[in-house]
Amino acid sequence: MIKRTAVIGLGSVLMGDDAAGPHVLRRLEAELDLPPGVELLDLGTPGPELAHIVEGLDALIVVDSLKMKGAAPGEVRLLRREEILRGPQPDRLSPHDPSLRGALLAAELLGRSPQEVLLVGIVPAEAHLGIGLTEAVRGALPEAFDAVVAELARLGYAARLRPAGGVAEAWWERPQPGR
Amino acid sequence: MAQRIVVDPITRIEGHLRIDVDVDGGRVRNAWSSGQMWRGIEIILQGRDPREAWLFTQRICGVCTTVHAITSVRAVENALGLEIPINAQYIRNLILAAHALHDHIVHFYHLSALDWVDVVSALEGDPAKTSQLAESLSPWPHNSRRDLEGVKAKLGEFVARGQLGIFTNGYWNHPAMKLSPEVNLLAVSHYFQALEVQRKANQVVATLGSKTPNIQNLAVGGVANAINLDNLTTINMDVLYRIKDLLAEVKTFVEQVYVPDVIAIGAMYPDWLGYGAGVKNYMAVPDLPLDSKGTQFDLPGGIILDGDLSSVRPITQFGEPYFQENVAECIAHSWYDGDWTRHPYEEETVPRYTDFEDNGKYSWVKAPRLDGRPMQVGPLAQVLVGYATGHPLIKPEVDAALATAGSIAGVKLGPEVLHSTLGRHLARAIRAKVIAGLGLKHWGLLAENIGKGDFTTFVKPEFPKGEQRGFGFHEAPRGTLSHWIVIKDGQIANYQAVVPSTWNAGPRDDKGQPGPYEASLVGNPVADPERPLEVVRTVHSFDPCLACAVHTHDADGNEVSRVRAL
Repeated sequence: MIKRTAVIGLGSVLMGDDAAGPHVLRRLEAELDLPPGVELLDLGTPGPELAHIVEGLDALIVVDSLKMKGAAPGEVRLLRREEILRGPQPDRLSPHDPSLRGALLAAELLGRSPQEVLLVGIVPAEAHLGIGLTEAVRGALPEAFDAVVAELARLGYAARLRPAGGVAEAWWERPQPGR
Repeated sequence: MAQRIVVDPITRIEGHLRIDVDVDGGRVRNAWSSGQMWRGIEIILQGRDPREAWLFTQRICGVCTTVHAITSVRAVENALGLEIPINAQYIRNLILAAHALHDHIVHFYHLSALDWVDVVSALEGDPAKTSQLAESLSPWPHNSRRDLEGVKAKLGEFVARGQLGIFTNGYWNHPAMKLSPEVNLLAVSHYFQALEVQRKANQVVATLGSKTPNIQNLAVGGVANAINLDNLTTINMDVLYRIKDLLAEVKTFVEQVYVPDVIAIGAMYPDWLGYGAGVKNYMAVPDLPLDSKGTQFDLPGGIILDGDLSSVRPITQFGEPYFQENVAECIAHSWYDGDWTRHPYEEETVPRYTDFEDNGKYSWVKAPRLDGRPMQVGPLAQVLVGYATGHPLIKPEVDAALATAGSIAGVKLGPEVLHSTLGRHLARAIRAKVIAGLGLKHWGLLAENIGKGDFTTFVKPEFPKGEQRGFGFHEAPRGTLSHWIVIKDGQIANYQAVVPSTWNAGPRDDKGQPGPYEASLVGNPVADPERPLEVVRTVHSFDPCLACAVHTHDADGNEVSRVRAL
C-alpha cells in the first residue's frame, strides 16, 4: 500500500531550462490541494542527501530536465524505475551529480528504496548560465504538470486542483529593477 | 557506451573538474586542473535587491547551499556596517556547524574512503577478528561480531546478485590498495553507519533552516526564526532539545568512529604522509562568531607561508583589512577576456573560450591569489593555524592523533607530516571533532541567552543612497569562502564569489605559479596509468566540489587513458 510519496523538483534555477523542475513544483504548490501523505520538495541540485530523501518512500515522482538520445527540446518523457536503473552505474555518490540512479541505489543499500518511481523528464533547449526558460520548455510545463497529477491519481491519491487556481510565482524570475 | 539514456541533468554532468597529468617513470611530472563549467553569479545578481542575493547564491551549488547563503548575508551586513542580534549569530553557527559535520562525514566515508578501502576485499574479512581489532581502537558499540557479520552478509548479497550498486566502479584489487580484509570490512561497516549519521546532521540544518538543501530562514540583519517558548511553530524547548540530541549523536560518531578510522587508515598508508603537499601557503578565516560584531570566534583564522608554523599572520575579525586589500583573481590562464589580475570589487566576467591549451588558457576557474601568492585552503589550513597558535581545542587533538597514528605505524610522527594527502584527511577529521564539541557549546549559548529573555533575531537593514562596498567570509567545509558586493542606491552593482575550490582548484597565474591541486599532484606515484588511483587520492583529499574527470597523458603528451572518476 502506498503511504508516503514525494514529488521532487530537481534542477538549477540559475541555468536556463534546467529550472523546469522547480517551475513545475511551484505550479503544483500553487494549484494543487495536496492529499495527506504527499510531499512537494524543490531540491535544486542536491548532493548525496538525495539518497536520504528518497529512502523510505513508497512512491517517488521526480520532475527534472532530461537529456535523451532522439528527444527534442520541449519533449516530456516519462521513465519508470527500471529504465532509470538501466543506465551506466555511477561510481559512488558524487557531490555534484545528483544522480537519481545513484540515490535509488544508495537507498537500496539501506534497504528502503521506493519501488514506484516515475521520472517526468523535460528535454531542455538551453541550459547555460542565465535565468529564464526557452519557449519550448515553457510550453512543456503543462504537460509535465499533468503527468504528475495523473501519476498521483494512478497511485490512488485524490489530488484536486484548487477551484480558484493559485498563482505560481517563481521568485527567481522577478524582474531586476536596475537592469 | 551501449546505453545512452542520460538521466543526469545535462548542466550538472557538464560541470566537471578535469585533471590532466603527465606521467613519466611512474610519477606525475606535471599537472593541470581545469573547471569545465563557467560561473558568473554577478551577471544574475546585478540590479537586484541585496536582501535577496542569498536566495540566488545558495543556488550556485547544490551541496554548498547554506554556506553561500550565510556568506552572502554577511557580505551585505559588512557593506552596511550592520551588527546582528547574538541569537541570530548562534542560530547561524548551529547551522554552519551541522552543515560542516555533514560535509566532513560524507566526504570521508562516501566520497573518498573507497580510494583507500577495497570493498571486494572486505568480503574476505573475518568478522570476529575485525571486531577484536575495532574494539582495540574505539569504544563504539556497533563494532560487534554480529554487526560485522550483518554487513558482510549484506555486501555478499549484492555481489551474489551481480550488482555492487554504487560500489561497482571502484579501484578494487589495485596494487596501491594495502589494507587487510578486516580493516576493509570495518571501514565498509562504518560506510553504512555514516549514511545514517550524516542524515542526523542534516536534520539539524533542516530543523533550523526550515528546509534543506535550500534553507529559508536567513535574512540580511539576522535570521527569520521566531523564538517563542510557548509556540509550537517557532523555536521552543522541544525543538531545542531535538537539536541537542541530534548534535550529541553526531558527536559520538565523530569521536568514536570517524577520527579513529582516519587515524588507523592513515597509519596503514604511511607513504601517503609524504605525498601531496603542494602549495604550503595556507589560509583560513575565523568562524563561529561569539559576538554580534564578529570580533571573537571559536575557530581560528590566519595565514601561514611556506609551511612555516613558527609565524602565523592572524585574521581576527569580520572585515579584516589585510584580507580585504590583498585578495585578487588572475585570469591569465582562464577562459575570460584579457589577462588581468583584479580585486573582486573590480572584476568583470567576459567569457572567452579557447581550446584546452597547456600553456595558454585551460580552465573556467580563475586563479585567486593573496598578495600575489597561491594559498591552500580547507580544514588543513585551519587546523595548522590552530596548531601553530596553540588553539586550546585544536592543538591537543593534533598531538593526540599524531601520537596514536605513530604508535600504530611504529614511527614518530610530527606535525610536518600534515603537509600531505593524508594530512588533509586527518585535519578534516580533527576539525569535525572540534566542531562537534563547539556545536553543543553554541547550542548552550543560545539556550542560555533565550533563558535570559532575549528573543531578538533580526534587525532591519537600511540602505542609504550612494555606494557601499563590503565582503563576507566564512570558513566553509572546503575552506575560505568570500563574497564581495558593491551596492549602489540600494541595488547590486557588482558581486563576486571567491570560493574555496577556486583557491584550491584554480589554474596557473600570470607568473606561472600553479594552484594547490596542480602542485600537490607533482611527484605522486602512479602504478597503473590506466587506473590512476593515486591521482584520485590526492585530488579527493581536498574535498573537490566538482566531480572529477581524470585524464592521463604519457610523456609525449598523448592521451593514454581517459578515466571518469567521481
